[in-house]
Amino acid sequence: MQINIEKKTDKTFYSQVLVIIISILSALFFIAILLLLLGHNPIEVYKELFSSAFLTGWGIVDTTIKSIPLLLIALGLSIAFKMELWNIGGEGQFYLGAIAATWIAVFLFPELNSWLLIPLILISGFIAGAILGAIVGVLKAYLGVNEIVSTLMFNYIAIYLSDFLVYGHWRDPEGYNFPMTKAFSEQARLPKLFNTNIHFGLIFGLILALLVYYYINKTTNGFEMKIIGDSERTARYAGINVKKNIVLALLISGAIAGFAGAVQMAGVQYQLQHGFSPGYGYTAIIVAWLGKLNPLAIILVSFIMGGLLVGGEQIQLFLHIPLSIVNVLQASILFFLLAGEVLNNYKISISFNSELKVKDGDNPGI
Amino acid sequence: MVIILEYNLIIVTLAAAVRSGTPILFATLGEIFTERAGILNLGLEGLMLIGALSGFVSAYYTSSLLLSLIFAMLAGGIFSLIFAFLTISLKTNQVVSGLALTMLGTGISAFFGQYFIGETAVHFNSFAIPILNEIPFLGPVLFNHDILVYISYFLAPLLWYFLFYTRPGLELRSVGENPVAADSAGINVFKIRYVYVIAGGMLTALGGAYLSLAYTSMWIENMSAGRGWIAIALVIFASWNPLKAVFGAYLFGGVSALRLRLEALGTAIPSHILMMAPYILTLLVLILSSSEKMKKKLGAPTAVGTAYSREDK
Amino acid sequence: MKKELILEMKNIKKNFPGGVIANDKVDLKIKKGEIHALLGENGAGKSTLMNILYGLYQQDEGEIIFNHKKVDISSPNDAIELGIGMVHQHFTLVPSFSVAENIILGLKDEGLKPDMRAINKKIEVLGNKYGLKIDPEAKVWQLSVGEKQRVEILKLLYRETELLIMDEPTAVLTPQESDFLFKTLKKMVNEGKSIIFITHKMEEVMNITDRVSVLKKGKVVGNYTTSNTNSNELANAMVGRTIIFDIKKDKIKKGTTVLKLEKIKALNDKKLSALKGISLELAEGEILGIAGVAGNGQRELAEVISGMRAPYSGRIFLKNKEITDYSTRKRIREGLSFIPEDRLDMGISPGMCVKNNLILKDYFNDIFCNYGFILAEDKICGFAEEMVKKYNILTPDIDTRSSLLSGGNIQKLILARELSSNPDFILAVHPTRGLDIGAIEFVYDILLKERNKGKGILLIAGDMDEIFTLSDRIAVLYEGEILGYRPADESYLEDIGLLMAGVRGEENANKY
Repeated sequence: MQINIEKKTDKTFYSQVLVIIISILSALFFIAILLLLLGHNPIEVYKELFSSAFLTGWGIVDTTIKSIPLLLIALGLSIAFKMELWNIGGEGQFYLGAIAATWIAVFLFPELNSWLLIPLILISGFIAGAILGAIVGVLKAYLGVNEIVSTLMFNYIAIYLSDFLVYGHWRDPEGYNFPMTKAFSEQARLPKLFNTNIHFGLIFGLILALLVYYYINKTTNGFEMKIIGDSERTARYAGINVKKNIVLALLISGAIAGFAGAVQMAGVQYQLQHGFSPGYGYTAIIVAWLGKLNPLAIILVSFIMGGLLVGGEQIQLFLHIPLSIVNVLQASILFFLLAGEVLNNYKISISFNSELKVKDGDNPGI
Repeated sequence: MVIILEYNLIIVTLAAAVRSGTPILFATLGEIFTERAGILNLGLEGLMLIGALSGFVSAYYTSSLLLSLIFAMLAGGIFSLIFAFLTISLKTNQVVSGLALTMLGTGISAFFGQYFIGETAVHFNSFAIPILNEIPFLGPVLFNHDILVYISYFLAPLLWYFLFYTRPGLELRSVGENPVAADSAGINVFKIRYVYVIAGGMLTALGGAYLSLAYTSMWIENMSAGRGWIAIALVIFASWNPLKAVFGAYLFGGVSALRLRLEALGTAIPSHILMMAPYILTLLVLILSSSEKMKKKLGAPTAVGTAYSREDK
Repeated sequence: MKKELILEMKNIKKNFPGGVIANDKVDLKIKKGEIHALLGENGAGKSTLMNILYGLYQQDEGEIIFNHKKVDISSPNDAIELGIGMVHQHFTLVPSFSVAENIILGLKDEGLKPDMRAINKKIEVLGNKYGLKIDPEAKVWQLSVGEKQRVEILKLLYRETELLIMDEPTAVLTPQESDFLFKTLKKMVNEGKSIIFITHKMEEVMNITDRVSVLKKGKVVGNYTTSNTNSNELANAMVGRTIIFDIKKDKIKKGTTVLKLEKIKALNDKKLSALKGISLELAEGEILGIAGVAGNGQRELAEVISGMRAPYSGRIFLKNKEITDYSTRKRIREGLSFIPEDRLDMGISPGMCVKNNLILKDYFNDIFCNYGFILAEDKICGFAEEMVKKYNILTPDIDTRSSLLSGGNIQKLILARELSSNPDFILAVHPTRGLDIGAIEFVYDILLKERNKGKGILLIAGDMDEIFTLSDRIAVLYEGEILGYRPADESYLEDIGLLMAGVRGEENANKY
């Protein structure tokens, strides 16, 4: 008997889904051990986590609301990631979009009619994120600056900028000295859906997912990006302008993250304040990767991640388990997924013959 | 805005720069060796936090500073081992794996650290080195610190000598520059990568332990505040050379120290803008060192970021 | 006089994932002090067998007996300790290290801090003994290809290697450098070394070897004593028929100039001068072959012509239109076609499917997209099916990932794509590298058909056989200059060899 470990020639959709499921289960198992060590009952914890997020009415609403920024940012990131451009700056672009949105809504045009104001707000977020993305893109394409570190530095800069504003000139004089701005007027707020708190951002997210899917797979520009991500040399050989596409991809991904920031302001927050993001930009990275950069899968994954955030808040409140457990869970899922993806490249077969018979016509690779 | 350029003030600020730069120096030195082996470890931020918490917890319970350092490095080593297994043996995407490590380290340290917020433990104290600290100007700046700083003074030149003048250093460099050549010469590429990823991770964790045991002597969530990321940028700035890393680390220490001084003096520059300073500086430094021309001259280990496989031909 | 065996490989079997049988019950016997050739086509299993011997691969079955002892070689370290060394086709040197540092790399007995002065001396002495002069302190990236090979050989001699494996060593050498290598090998053999010489070139086998083992499709098909055999017999064993490319080139009337280069000067990636003033003219219906040893500017020349590298002086004309400042895409639109040397790295996008690779350069044309930016799936599929049929590309379907195709079929894909736009000018660089005989014939056939149709082809290849088979005229590239033109006739072979080595002829280099 011999055990053969062979490299697979192609992974099936089925096996890829299996890997994702196993990764999530493995991570849950690992966290369960952690919880046990600290004297909690993992079954109870998970029950509370999942039921509060997915099995109650308000839970589903809250999960959806939390999933919207994740969905939007992850969609933007997926475009950059497809070209192997590691935009870690989703968080900063998110903040910058929120800053721009607040500027328009609270300081520039608070009295404007909804039909004009809301598009303005959204576009401002889009543009703010686009500018940041473009800067990073130009630095990368023309100066060879590593985009991982540059986007990260901009995260800190954008967050401090936001703090500077809300602790300083933008602070609401009637806000009891809390670091936050005046609230958005009624005209500046996104409409709600289905008589719940879920705002219009959900529609934007779903539409954007379709747009991104279409862009990557059906347009010439998406075609170019796929080739650059696959083999940059081939792209240059084919006459594709790689530098332009690098800037474009980072610009678009920044713009979408900025748009997400504006949506978050106009849909949920209604005011810029210190620390309004629990790290959506970073969680979105995991969402994008878990969703394998596929817009449709990202919709599902962002919903699940949103649920984890909601459930995490619940268990923090009632079971006194710190919210950071969710981060640990997310990171663990990512680790197991990375390992699982690689293991999925190999096929283990056990044969009872002594010889490996191969017909010549079988393998097109000979 | 009036800055008082008093002599004492400069001394104090420069001394603070050294202290502030030391944790970054440890992390940068560690990552230089990891990248010299051809692996990009973006998990430094997470490793620093793990080191910080582990060191602090150990100090809290054992009251032994030596044990705390060992424990911190051990923790860093274990997490680096996981990362190494993923990226070297399983050949996963190094960028995403490093990000996962950062998130894991941040999350785990915050999770377990919740019990230690506000606690105190033994910590390193500064002591002056007799005679040396009497040297005008340099004396008080360099020779009135804790033992970890003094160790770092030796560490950088030692590592530099090791890298460029010894046989094992030669082997390390060959693995990073041309793993095929190294493999053919009989060097165990996998073993070397494992060793230096783990060693680099341990050094980084040591830098984190410095934060909680010497720099501030307490545990605060996310206390590394991006130092791990700055270290990654510094590795490029230092052109993978341990001696240049010293210069870079103290430069950054200086910016942080300057900010604190300015705030204490009550400058008109708002504090949040000042806090941006290290990150803006990192950005500028990155832009300067990244232009293609410089990269060719600086001798980056060309195989950084790609996994190695013998039978993949 | 019966010489004793230094090496015996018995019943070696090696399979690779995907069902490829690289070595199938291979037996090999090497006598002490002989030069033994391993002859075979690409993919016959020669390199795999030697990689097993050197410890880079492990055999699935079979044993290795070295110096009468059964040995287990699980890493290059083991091989080196036994006294087995290998000079690979692609040099395993660290470019930024010095010669000496490269030579001592991996040696444990030099201690923690090596004494470089003593080592340098030792290298000089060794070099003088075997006639391999080299400066131990020179940085490897500055060395020529021939010098780099000498460093590789010195590496082995420094370690007192007894059995040296040389993998296609003359692939990168001029004829004269090859002669020098053979002299070196003879010296080593006189000192008691044994040499395994992997090659697919018949003349080399007949010139310097004592015995030959021929491999075909993973099996040993014959053992010969060189003095008792001849090229035809060996060729027969190698492919099952004598290799004569029975290709007759029709006399074609040359048309107008299709490509013209005027005093092109360009730098390479290291900012050193790669092209020092290249001028040439290519006419319709002509194949101009650029001969030369790899590393004399061929890569930069191809990049300059295709638009991937900008020259710092000089002009380029395509059909009388100046294209010097045109981008790659613009040149593609003007009818410039490029079959690159690197199939997987450049010629195709390996992760994308066959049909997408077929429209790699045309996707933005109106036929394949609507409104200028939306891809027209149906037209793309139709085109892809057509091409697969016309060029007989073996693939399960047009949505298969391209990297899964065999080398020959990938090349067919590239040819299909490049020729489908009916270009007037084709740049072909090493178009048959790594292909088997059948695929090579196919490629030659297609290129000659295009030539007969009146296209101009610039062929950059290292293989003299290929250059002579296809070209009408031959230009020799040496250190970034064209040293001369010769007609593609066998009688000029020696002349061309000299030019390739830099020995300039009395003719003016710019005479066409």
